[in-house]
Amino acid sequence: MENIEMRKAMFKFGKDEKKCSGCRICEMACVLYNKKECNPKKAFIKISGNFPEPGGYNIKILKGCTLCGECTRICPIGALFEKKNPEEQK
Amino acid sequence: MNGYGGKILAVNLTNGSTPFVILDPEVAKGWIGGRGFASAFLYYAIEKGTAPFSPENAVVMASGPLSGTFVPAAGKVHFATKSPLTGGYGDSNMGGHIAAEMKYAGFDAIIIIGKSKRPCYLFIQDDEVQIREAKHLWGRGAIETEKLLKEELGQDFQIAVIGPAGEKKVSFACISHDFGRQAGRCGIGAVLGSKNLKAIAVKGTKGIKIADFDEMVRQGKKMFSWCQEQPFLKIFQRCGTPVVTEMVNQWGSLPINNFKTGHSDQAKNLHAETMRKEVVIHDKACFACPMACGKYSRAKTEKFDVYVEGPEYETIALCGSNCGIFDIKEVAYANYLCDELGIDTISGGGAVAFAIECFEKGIITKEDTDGLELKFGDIQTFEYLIKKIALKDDSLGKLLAKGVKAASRKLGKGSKDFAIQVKGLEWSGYESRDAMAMLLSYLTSDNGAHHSRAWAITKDIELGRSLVDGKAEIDIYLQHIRPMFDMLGVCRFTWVELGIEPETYPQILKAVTGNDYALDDLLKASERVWTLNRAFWFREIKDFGRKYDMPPARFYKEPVPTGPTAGKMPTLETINRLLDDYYKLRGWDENGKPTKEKLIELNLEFLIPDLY
Ligand code: SF4
Ligand code: SF4
Repeated sequence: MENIEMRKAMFKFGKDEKKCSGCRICEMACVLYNKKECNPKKAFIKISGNFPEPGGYNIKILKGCTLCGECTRICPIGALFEKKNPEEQK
Repeated sequence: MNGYGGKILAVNLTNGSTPFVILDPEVAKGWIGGRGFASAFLYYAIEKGTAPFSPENAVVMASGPLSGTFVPAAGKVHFATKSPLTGGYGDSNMGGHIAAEMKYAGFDAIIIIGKSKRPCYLFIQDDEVQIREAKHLWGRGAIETEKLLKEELGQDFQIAVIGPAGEKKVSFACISHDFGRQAGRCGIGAVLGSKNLKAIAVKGTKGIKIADFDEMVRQGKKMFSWCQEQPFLKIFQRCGTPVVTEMVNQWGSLPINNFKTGHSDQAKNLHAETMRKEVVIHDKACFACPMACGKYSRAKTEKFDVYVEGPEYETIALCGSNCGIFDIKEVAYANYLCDELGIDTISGGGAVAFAIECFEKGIITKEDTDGLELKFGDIQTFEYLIKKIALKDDSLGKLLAKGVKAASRKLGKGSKDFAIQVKGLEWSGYESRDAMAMLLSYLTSDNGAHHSRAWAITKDIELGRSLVDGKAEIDIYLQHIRPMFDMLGVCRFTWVELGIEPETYPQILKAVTGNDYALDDLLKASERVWTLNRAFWFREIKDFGRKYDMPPARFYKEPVPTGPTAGKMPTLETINRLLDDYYKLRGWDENGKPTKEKLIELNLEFLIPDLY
């Protein structure tokens, strides 16, 4: 298992909530990888909606996140991503 | 049981009992799930001749084996009932997140019968099932009800609700979920209303057991990346179903003013790009869907300021152009009214357009409308009529609330010629006088004039629109493959819009359930469901047969007056030829009844005593 501190130094989360469609694939990808279960309720990421007004979604990273990046790799709409270049990471 | 929730919940609202049964693996293998479960359970759950609004009628809600798993767009749930609008098999499919949630709670299907004495809602949290008081919700709008219940129970609950129209038993009342997803067709919301059931709230925390976990993950990832690579994904994410509005208008198939014609120069005000600019605020997806075809909108003018999911293409076609409304903000407002009242936008738009044409022809007059002149292209007319329908507070509202078929039978004066429906279900968004496969698809769809079973119009464009030969075969293929997705509990758009190989599905289904199917096995199962539904109509309607598969006279007496299809129209003879071809290929007799041989071939011999 990788050292989480090392992961933190290497992996920078990027999120753009305005783009989020609420599909919850990220929750699923997270739990499949980290818990080997088909049960998004146990994911380390949680999506919640603001309906009916003003619409839109919030993305929350929960305690326990391993910074594995599964969610950023599967997000189909660019709402979650890994900040790769040092400029983005500031 | 791998891939399934494993239990079927049976709710009896009369005595308040909520037992469940364990899903029989053989039942799961044969009927697959979703639409298959809904049709089969409905057939068994009600007796021949059950009145749609009687406590004995059932509503079945079913997820599929892929719902809630790691498959793109695995968020579909299917509903079926004996329809109050048609008197026959009624079903509707919707997305959102509730199918997955049911599975996580351990339920593949919920069968609801009986009638509660008081307004109530169904509460499900894993194994805990309760019928709860809903006095505080009764009378409230669908959007408002969902919001209140989420505040009360927690945001993690997935909730399906009915609006005031469902409570008032408007024959085309819908079921709503996730602030904008609807099981719109066939009046299933009205049946829930007749049972005094305002909502179904579900939360599941148990997850789903997977037969071959690693294989599901491997295949699922492949499917998701494949979707990601398709150039059309970005376009569909941006536009959603309104991506077709411009094209359908160019084809001359956009319903205008109660299907008088199929093309309008004003339609550009309804195009996807106009919509994106004028009203859309963000994309909104169903469970695990990369396409995010839902568009969440805010329509703001001096007269109104509303939030609504949509409008979808069908709403644009029926509440927009078919009512002569060519302003996307007004269409979004019409969409909001239908959603909050709990009315199917397709039948709702159809009923409004029908009433306006009746007014033009003097069949409905100012005496019936509180002095208001009903006009196409007038949002005030739309608002007036849709509220009358939803609240049924006068004779005009009550009349239209039964749907255009029943209304035209009451009004007479030739109005049945332009009551645009088949089997009592209002026609959805494709004018089909010059599209023979699409026309036949509407005539033979198993729930009435609905497009989703066989969206065959692209084949008409490809092969020749007025061509008759070969069209029945195309429709039958589509009527098996498209509903197959409804059985699996996934959205068909990954196939229709992105072109994913259908063969992918039996593979991942095997990983999820452990059951081995070839694509042909799934298509055969789909044919069984189709045939069962046809049998349902014959069981429930004494004189059912070919005459129920006919379009209104407008489609064979009035050639299209304008646009690219001007002058086109099939003859009655052509329509009958289409049906002849279709029945023959299906193994039905000339009145459209499945033959004994066909029933035996499909292992449906248990239907023979009901039909013969
Ligand atoms: S990075 Fe964190 S939230 Fe994302 S998938 Fe990995 S563990 Fe889950
Ligand atoms: S962050 Fe991405 S994957 Fe997660 S819900 Fe939003 S759009 Fe879907």
